[in-house]
Amino acid sequence: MIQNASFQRKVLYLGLIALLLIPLYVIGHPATGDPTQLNSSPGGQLAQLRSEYDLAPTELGEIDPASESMKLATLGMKGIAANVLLMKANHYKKTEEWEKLIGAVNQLVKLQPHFVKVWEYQSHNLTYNVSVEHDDFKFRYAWVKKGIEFLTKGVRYNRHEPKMPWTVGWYTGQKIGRADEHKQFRRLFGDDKDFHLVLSQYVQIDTEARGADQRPDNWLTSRLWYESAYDIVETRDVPIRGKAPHIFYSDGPKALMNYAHTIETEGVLDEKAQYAWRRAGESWDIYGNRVVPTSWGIRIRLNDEEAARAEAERLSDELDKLVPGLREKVKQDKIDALPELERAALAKSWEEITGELEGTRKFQAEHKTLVSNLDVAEASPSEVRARAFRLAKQASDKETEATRIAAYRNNVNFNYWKARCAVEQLPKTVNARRHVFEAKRLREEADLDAARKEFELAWQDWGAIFQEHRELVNELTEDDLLEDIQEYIKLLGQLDEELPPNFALQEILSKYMDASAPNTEAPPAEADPAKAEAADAPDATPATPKEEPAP
Amino acid sequence: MTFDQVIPDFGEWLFGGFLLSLIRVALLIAGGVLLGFLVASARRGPVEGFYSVAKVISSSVNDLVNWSLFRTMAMAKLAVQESIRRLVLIVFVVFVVILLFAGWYLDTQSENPAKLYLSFVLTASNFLVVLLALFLSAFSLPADIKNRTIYTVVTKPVRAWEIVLGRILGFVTVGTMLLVPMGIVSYFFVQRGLSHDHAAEQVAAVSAGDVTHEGETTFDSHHRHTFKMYDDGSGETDVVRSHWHRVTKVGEGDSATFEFGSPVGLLQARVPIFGKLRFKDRAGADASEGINVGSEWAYRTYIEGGSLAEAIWTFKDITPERYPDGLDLELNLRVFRTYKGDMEKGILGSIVLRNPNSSAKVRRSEAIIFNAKEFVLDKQTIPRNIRVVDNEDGRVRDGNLFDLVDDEGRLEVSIQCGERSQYYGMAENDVYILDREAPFVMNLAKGYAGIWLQMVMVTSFGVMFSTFLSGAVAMMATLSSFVVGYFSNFILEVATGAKEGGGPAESFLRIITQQNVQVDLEIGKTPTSIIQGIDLVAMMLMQVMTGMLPDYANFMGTTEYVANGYNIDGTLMSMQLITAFCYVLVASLIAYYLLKTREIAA
Repeated sequence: MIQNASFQRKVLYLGLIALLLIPLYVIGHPATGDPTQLNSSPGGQLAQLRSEYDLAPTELGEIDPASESMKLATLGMKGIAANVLLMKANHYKKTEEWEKLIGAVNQLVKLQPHFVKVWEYQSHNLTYNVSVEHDDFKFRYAWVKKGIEFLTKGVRYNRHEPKMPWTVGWYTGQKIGRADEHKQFRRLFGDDKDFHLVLSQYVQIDTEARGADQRPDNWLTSRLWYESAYDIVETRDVPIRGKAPHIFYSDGPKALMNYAHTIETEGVLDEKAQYAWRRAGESWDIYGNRVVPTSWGIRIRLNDEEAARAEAERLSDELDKLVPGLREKVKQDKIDALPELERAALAKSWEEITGELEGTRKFQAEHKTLVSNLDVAEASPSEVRARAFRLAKQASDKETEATRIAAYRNNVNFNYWKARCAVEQLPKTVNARRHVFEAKRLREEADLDAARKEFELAWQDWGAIFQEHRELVNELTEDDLLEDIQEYIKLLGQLDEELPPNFALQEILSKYMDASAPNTEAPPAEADPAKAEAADAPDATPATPKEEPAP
Repeated sequence: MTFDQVIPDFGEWLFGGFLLSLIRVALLIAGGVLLGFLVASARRGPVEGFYSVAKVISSSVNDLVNWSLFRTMAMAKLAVQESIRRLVLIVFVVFVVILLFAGWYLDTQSENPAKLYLSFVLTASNFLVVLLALFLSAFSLPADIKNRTIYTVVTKPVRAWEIVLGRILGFVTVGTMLLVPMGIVSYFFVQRGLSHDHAAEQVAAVSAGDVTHEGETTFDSHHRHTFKMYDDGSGETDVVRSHWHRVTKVGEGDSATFEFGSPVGLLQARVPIFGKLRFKDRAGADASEGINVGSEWAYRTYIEGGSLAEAIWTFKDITPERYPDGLDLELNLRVFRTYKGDMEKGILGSIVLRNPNSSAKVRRSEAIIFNAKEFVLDKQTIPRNIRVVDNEDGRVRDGNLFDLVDDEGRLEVSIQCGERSQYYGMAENDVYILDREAPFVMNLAKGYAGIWLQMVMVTSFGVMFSTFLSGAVAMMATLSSFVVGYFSNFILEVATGAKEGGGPAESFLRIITQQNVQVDLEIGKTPTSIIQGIDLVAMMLMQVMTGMLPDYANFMGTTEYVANGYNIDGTLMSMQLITAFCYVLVASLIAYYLLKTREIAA
């Protein structure tokens, strides 16, 4: 009887297990067959949801048997295992056990191959924090390379994630190209044919990234990575996470500019440099024509600011033609409505204003007497009011659009880079930079007179460039030209001379520097976009091996 | 490479900590006897109680005197047979499968592949064998009692002592039978994994001194070397991934080819002689340690360059007989730059050998200038004939290394950083004299011996718990003793309050209420007092527990020696052997009494 009861219990348990398996199968069974065929099955509810949200491992990227077996081996305790590995990795980093660190990190990503933040964090750790712990620049480079190689593996596992190739591009460009050891890093990168082989599995480094010396260049390679990130967004229609689209898309063309600038600093000052800047300019123009979403919910193109402003002006003129003289009348009415003291302040020019109170009054009066297109439309006669309102609204919309585009342009220093690309590709500019390069070389060799001559030749060229391109006075001066001028002033100091009164770039100097102070430091970093860009980057390699935070 | 294991002096260890521990154990045994007496007295009165305890003790002595090796071996044989019946050899198959798929998980591009491979095989063997010991020892006796097969044993004239020892011996034999082939397979696995070959890819004839050719090898096993050939036909590659290759030129002229030998320097067992480190600060005054440059890990401290700061190691037993050709110093210094300087050059420093005897005729050697290299072992060979500074006239003259050794065989090695505002970092083990290269196979065997000792201890604990607990509970108890023993350092830190966040109760509360460990508990004064009171008791218990259990992490640490290429010191082996023996003895004794007092066949 007892045996019978035990047997019955076992049968009951087995029955219950079988019963529970049925709903599990119904919601969880995988899709089978070709989805285009009639006899195929879309799978259970879970399989369908996975497919809908691209959550299946096959949808996310490559599947690694090691990774899958490791996940299986943790028996559902993947999170705990990952936590332990992360703690171990941190410990190994602290105790400088680099082989163990990379071992733990590799195991960690095998457990979480589709967790993008893990790849980003750990690759940053290797590329920036571990590399800087080594004194020998070759070791530093080796760890930068390890970090990049590590992240490229992540690209394979996360083929829908644009941030991954973008980050590889950032490290390849910014870390190799802007670290304190950038000269050594760039040299090592150019010679590193084994690394080129690894990278060529992902980007066309052999054909698309050869620099002026025909060796692969880090900036050009980084551009290829950015481009592959852009491809993911465009072809797979996935969102760009953690980065504003207009900034995300600006890095590709900027890599070309960085390349052009870098080869010039390395002494390539000929048609190759001109071509590099021309290519960068074209790329910037393509970027300007790219439709980018904004936080206002509209889509804009950075190149459209001028057109939007012109259209707003045209519509405003049309409004004025519809109601001639009305704008002036509205303005006068507003002036008349002002309190006496404000009216008096408004009548004065800013030079005539005395005291803060009067200045405030003038400012308020100016603000109150501004006449918008809508003010004009409101005051227009009833027979044309409807049309006037339409024109005013259209003009206002265009102004808003232009203002918004301007704000976005300002974020990426659009005008500066546009102007710079335009000017840098001029033969005269390249010539001027060659003279500066020569001057610096001669100064290092202590041939001060020859250096001064070269500087003076450079200033002649720069003077002519600024005469021909007046618009650049407000744009291009944020370049390292200021540092060159400073070096020239120092050179003159060594020769017991002062800056000549007819100095060709006096206007620039007066605008941006205090020429009377020969030892004036360079302008603040934010004034130099190239430096500002570097400062924004995670690669702000400190002078001392100080740890940097992960991005 | 980091190697921060410090082996204490054997005498200090034996007469300091170890004997103290033995005294504690003796006191515990006495306490146990007293407790037994009190329990027996409570049940049967003091006189009967005394007789009961005396009877147990006298029968124990009787059991010990009449202990039979034959019967013990018979019990061990039974344990072996039982284990084999339970298909324990499958563990070896699991190990082989792990090795087969190891390539999936090992970083084949590691800078130090030998360390990685060795760490992997040793760790895998360690955990597998410990798990095996755990399962075998914990389930055997309870299963016998449950199945009543134990009756066939206890009804024979077999003593409890022989049952306990027999079980331990049998399971240890099974573990050994598995561990030995594991060690052999591991060796060949590591050998095969590290073995690789290169061919010459680019070679150019040069004439720079005795160098005739320079070239580059093919890219194999994720790396390539550059190499140099000398006019005597020999050559060598540079060191990449902790190894190099010998190169030989075969043939002449255009038809000459280059052959590369097997990797050198991967599987090593260096025998280091460590010295005592002391510091001098930037003003040249004695200092207890160097400067902390802001590292979270305070293992190394730093000396300032271009100042009087120096790090001085004192080595003992330096004799001409021991080092007839001079000394091989190996340095593993760190560099900290406060300004970048020339990144293509290392930071210069100097080594000076000094005689500790201040009245010696020759006090110091001429400074040996070197470039500090980080994260590689920088070998500095100090020849026997060196330039020394005469103490009398201050002149530099030819001298002998052993002129700088005092009568007690001591020699000081002083290191200074030569560049202003740059720093060298060091710990005591970062500079040592390379005594010799020991055979790697022997070192690997010693590493496995460390694992074996752990297995023996786990088996003893398993058998001990299985004498009074059921199989599953005994296994959990043994596992807990292993885990607590393994994390004993951490637990001790928690128990002594060295770790932030309080004891177990407070930590638990902080976790569930998500309170930071750095701030005081925000639950009110009385609840805090209650929690801390509970913790006080728990922490005391934790301290006692960690003191009673073996520090398995320390035993596992011996495998680090093998992985890092250092010979496992005889002193360390002896300490571990003695420690393990004592634990086995105590566990066996407890098991014996527990089994004896258990009324199995009543």
